[in-house]
Parts: sequence; C-alpha cells; structure tokens
Amino acid sequence: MRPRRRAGWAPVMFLAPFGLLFALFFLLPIGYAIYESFLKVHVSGLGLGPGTSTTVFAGLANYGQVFSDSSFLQGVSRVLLFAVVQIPVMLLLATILALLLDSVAARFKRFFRLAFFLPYGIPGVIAAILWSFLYLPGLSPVVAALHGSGFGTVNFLGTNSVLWSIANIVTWEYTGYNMLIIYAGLQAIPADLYEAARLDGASEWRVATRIKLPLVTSSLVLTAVFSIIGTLQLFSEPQVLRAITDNISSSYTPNLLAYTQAFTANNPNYAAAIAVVLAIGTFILSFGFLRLVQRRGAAV
Amino acid sequence: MKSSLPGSRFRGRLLIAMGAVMAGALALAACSSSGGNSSAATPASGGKVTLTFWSWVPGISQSVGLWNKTHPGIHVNLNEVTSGAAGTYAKMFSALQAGNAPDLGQIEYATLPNFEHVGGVVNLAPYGANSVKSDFVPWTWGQVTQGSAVYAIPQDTGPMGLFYRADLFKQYGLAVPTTWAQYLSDAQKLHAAHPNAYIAAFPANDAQWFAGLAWQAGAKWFATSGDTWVTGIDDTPSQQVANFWQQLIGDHLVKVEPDFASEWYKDLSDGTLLTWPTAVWGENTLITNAAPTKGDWRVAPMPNWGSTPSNGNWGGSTTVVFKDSKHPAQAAQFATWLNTNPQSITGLITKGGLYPADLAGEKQPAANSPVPFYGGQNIWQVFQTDGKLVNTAFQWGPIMNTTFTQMSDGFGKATGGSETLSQVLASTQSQTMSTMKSQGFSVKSG
Repeated sequence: MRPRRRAGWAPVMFLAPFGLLFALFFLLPIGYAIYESFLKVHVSGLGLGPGTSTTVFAGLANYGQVFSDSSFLQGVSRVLLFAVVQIPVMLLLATILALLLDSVAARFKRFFRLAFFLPYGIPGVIAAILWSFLYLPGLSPVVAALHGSGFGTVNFLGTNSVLWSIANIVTWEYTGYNMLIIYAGLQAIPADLYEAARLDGASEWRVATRIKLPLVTSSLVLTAVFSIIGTLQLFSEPQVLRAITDNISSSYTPNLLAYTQAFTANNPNYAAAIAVVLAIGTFILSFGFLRLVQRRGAAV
Repeated sequence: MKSSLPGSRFRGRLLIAMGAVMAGALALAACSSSGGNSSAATPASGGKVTLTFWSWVPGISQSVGLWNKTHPGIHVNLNEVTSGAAGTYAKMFSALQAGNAPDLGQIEYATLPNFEHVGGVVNLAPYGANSVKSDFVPWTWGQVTQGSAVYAIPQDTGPMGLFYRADLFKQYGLAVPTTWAQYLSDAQKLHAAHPNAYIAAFPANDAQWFAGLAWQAGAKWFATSGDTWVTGIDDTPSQQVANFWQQLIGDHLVKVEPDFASEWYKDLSDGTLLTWPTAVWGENTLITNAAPTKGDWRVAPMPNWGSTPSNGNWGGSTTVVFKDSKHPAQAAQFATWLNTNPQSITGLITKGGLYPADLAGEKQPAANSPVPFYGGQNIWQVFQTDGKLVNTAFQWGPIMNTTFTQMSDGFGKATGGSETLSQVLASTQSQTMSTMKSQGFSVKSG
C-alpha cells in the first residue's frame, strides 16, 4: 500500500480551467439542444400577430417525427451508402501512399509528404468550389477533354452521379490527412524488425504486408472511426454543390436537413431533435466499429 | 429566397452558398452576442432617440445619413447585414426569440407573413401608416396588411417582364411573343433550327421564380377565411403554368439548370439562352453578368395567358418595425420617410438599384430613362405600365420558406424525370398543409 497523500484543492484547481470551458462550451450547448428538442411551437388560428404562437412541451413528438420523416431516412441511407464505398477507397489510397512514402526506395519524401497533405489544408468549402468548376459541363476542362476523347458528355452532377462527385471531393481532401496518421504509425515501428526481416531474406512487399500493415492496424482503426464520424456529418460539400445542380435537395444529408430546418424553416426544435438523433447514431456506429475490430483483434 | 436586389448580389450562388455555410455559425453566435446590435435605444441626453436598422441594400447609408441630418431628434444606426436568405433572417428570428431584435429591419414580401406569424413585427396602423397607402403600387399594400393591421412599409418591387435577345430574334426570324402560346411556338421553331439554343432556362432550384409566373396566371396560393388559412398551391392557374413548362422540359426546348450560377451566366452571355422572363431587377443581373451582350437585349411585356394582360411579381422588400423596439412611433416615422421621401428614394434607386414601390418614385429620372445596355430602350416604362397589372389578390403563406424549399426539392426531382411539375405542386400543397397542421395552424385546401 502506497501512503495516501492529501491532495487538497490542487487537482481541482488544475482541472478547473478545462472543466469550466468543457461545461460552458460543450456540455451546456448539448444540454440546451436536448432541452430544445423536447419543445415545439404551437400556433393558434391564422398565427398572425403577437401572442398567437406559443412554445409548448412536446415530449418525444419531435423524435417521432424524425423517425417517420422520409427525407431524414433517405438522407441517412444516402450517407451510409457513401460511407460504405468512400471510406474503404480513401483508406486504401491513404495506406498505399503511406507505404510508398515509407519504403526505402522513396525519394523526395519531404516534398511528397507535404504534397499529399496539402489538400487537407484547403478549407472544405473552398475545395468544393474549386471542384465545382471541374464538374460544370460548360466550364470544365475535364468534361471537355472527356467529350473530345470520345466519352460523350459526362454529367458529374446527375441524379445518381452527384453523390460520387461529392465522394471524390471528400477523398481528395482527406486522403492526405489519413495518410499522415498511418505514416506516423509506420515511423513508430522499430527499425530492428526490418533488419531482422531483411536478414531472413524478406522482400519489400513481404515487409509491407507482414510487418508494416499488421503493426499500423491501430492507426487504420483510428482513421476509420474519424471517417465514419466525418461522413455522417457530411454538409459543406453538398451545400456548396447545391448552387450548381438541382439534384441535391435541401435534405440530401441528415446534417443538411437539420440546417434547413433550423435556418430556412425556422424550426430549431425539430432541428435539435435531428441533431441529437444523428449524434447518438454516430456514437453507436463509431463505438460499434471499435468494439467490432477490438473483438476480432483479441480473437486473433 | 430571392430578393429584389440587382445582380450585384447575385453574382454567384456559390457565394450565397458559402454565406449559408457560414450563416449557421453566425446565427448561433447571434443567439448569445447580438446584444451589441440590439435596440438599447435609451433616449440620450436632450431626449434624443436612437434606433437600430438592419438592412442589406447597398448604399442605403446615403438615405439613412440624410435622415440623420434632417431629423436631429431621432438618430438611426444602420447595421449593414448580409441578405436575408444568406443568414440575416435566421439572425432576426434568433434575436426576436432572445428579445433583443433591432428597431427596424429589411424583410422581403414573401417572408413577411413568417415574421408576422412569430409575432415579430409591430402593427403600424396606430402610428398612421394608412395615411401613405395611396403612395404605393396597389398590390404592395395587400402584401403588407392583414385585415386592418399594417405590418410593414413597402420599399421596392419586382414586376416581371420578358428580357430577350433582340439581335438573335431577328437573326433567327422569330417574333417577340405576346402570349405563352407564341412563346412555345418560338421555342419549337428555335430549337428545331438551332439545337444548341434554347428559348430559356428552367431553374428548378428557384421556386420564387415559378411563384412569379403562377402569380401572373392568377394563382392564389394562400388566402385567409376567418381564422383559417386557405391553401391552393396546386390551383388551376398554377397547374396551367406547371404543365406549360413541363412540356418545354419534356420536349427539351428549355435548358434545365440552376439560375444565378456560373453556367447560367455563361449561357446568357453566349446566345444559348434567348429570353429570361424575370423581374425588373434582372436588368442589373444582365448588365453585371452578361456584359459582352451589351446592346443585344431588349425588354417586352410578359407573354400572356389570354386576351386580358396581367403580370406577376418576383422579389421586392419592405421595412418593418420589430416588436422589441422601445420607440415604435419614431421607428414607424423613419420607415415611412425612408420609402416615400423623394430624395431618399433617389438614393435607393441610384445606389441600391431598387425599383421603388412608391408611385412618385417610379417617375423619377433615375428609374425612367433610356439604358445604354438595352440599346437605349427606356425599359422602365414596360415595368411602370405592367407593374399596375400585378394581381393584387395574391398572398403569401405563413411558412413560405418551407413551402419554397419543398417546391424546389420537388422540381429537382421532376427535372430528373421521376415526377412532373404538376405532381410537385400537388405534393407541395399537401406537404405545406401537413407542416402547418403539425404546428397548430388552422388550414384547409382551397
């Protein structure tokens, strides 16, 4: 038994700045959103003039509405489809880039590391605007080049294609970021492992698949969880592309629906309920994924 | 949401979208910090009253400055904000909820009932607003009143007209249409001879544009009967307009694309689009965004549905007094002066690019002279004459932003081919009614 030291007020004082800010800017807004999600505005008659609309307690009515709202459910299935396709593609690319950068044969590592990471430094809204010029049929050199080389007129903004055009933007933005996390994981692998492998006559390919990949699994899991969270919150790319295509509705993603409800429809209570449902959904999915891979990790 | 303001503010929907992305953050910030902007309005020394005014009209500071010079007892602080749909409405709603809205604000006609319904605007009738009723274009007064209550002072309007490429009409041997039937036959003739040219664009994103056309056809989307809203978004005139454009879309005679977007500007500049049925403020949109076509465009009255000429309106806004104002009488005085004083109106026309709702204002040289871009045509006279034909009975509903969103989402699906415009009107009607019912409104189908 170690002797217990009297802590006194010191830990509290050290924790106070964090605790205060955490409560003020994290717990309080979340609590307020949850509170708001249980209210609704009730209008009587024509609802014109002062006093005709009152805020009343709604119980779970807003939540009931969320789950019966077909535009919400469509938005959720859309981002899930997006996640199932885009996240594996992006992480595969990121892993390949990281392995290439980490291989002994790589040259100009500093330059490429920066170049791959650069898109992440561009704000999402700006990235979406840049890409929108590459998607617009009358302005895009890409569309013109495809047309010129006999591919016909490719429509990047069509009903079905626009989701993948968004996926392309997101992949472009975040591959470098994920690569960096995986690359950092690779850098942490002790060099003597490689040395031993080489003495045993392992090729670069075998080193990559048998040593590097298994040892960066935790980095891959981390990037996957971040990506799941990010995908469910998909907002700025579709919001920007809405300006140039009719095929992105105001409820295209759950976040876009919440935004429309809060700031166009002036229905913050319903928007709060959507946000809470989305947060819980994201929580369940991210932690569900973590549990899944941890269990499999333990089984191996 | 479209405002009456000219092209300078429509340079790109991308910019609006950017604004919208940021608006969320701003509006949230407004909940906690708008105290700084609010109408503290404590009378300063000497009984001087200070009012706060939120507006996005460019150059409106000139009119406000003029007021401050001539009215030493009432000082107006102008707060230049971003346009309503780009975040200011959200900020206004939040401020009203928090009880610290400014004294005065800029609100478009279509959004006014939304503010009336949250009890945000002051009835100006007790402050003598009815005395200026005859100064304004008749339909605008119908838009700012509910029963005997006057909720705003009209500022500007957007009567519609047909902007067309006179050079190409001549070159292709087309006649300027006076009816929609002729418009259709022009469209067919044009597209048969020139497959890459279209009579116009169909902007599925822009429900307000469609509303202007339905308004012209005699639609009555909203009306009140006693304590009940009567909703008729899919009424016969609206269906007529929907079926007309459905035919143009189905036969590929119009180009389906969002308006106020870079591609659309390009199409207006390079002869892909031959007409744009739009509001008076469209003149500036073309001057700003289709500069190479200088001298090629002219304006004709809107094509009509029958033998009786009629017109619709797109955009335009008002000045309101918010409920939190501690000096509603003085605020009402300013709102009236701003929109009826000849010098103030001159400023709004020349600096703000507005087309005044004030009848005398329409006769000012600034809004009644030949325009070089339009080959020296005095385009204003078309709007002055046709502005009087705007149906006075048309009314907006109390959740118009939601209705517009539902409609443009539907139009997006329709132009993708899975529905027809006419089906979208029916679904917008039922969605709007169910949203209103769920909020407690008393509403029936009309």
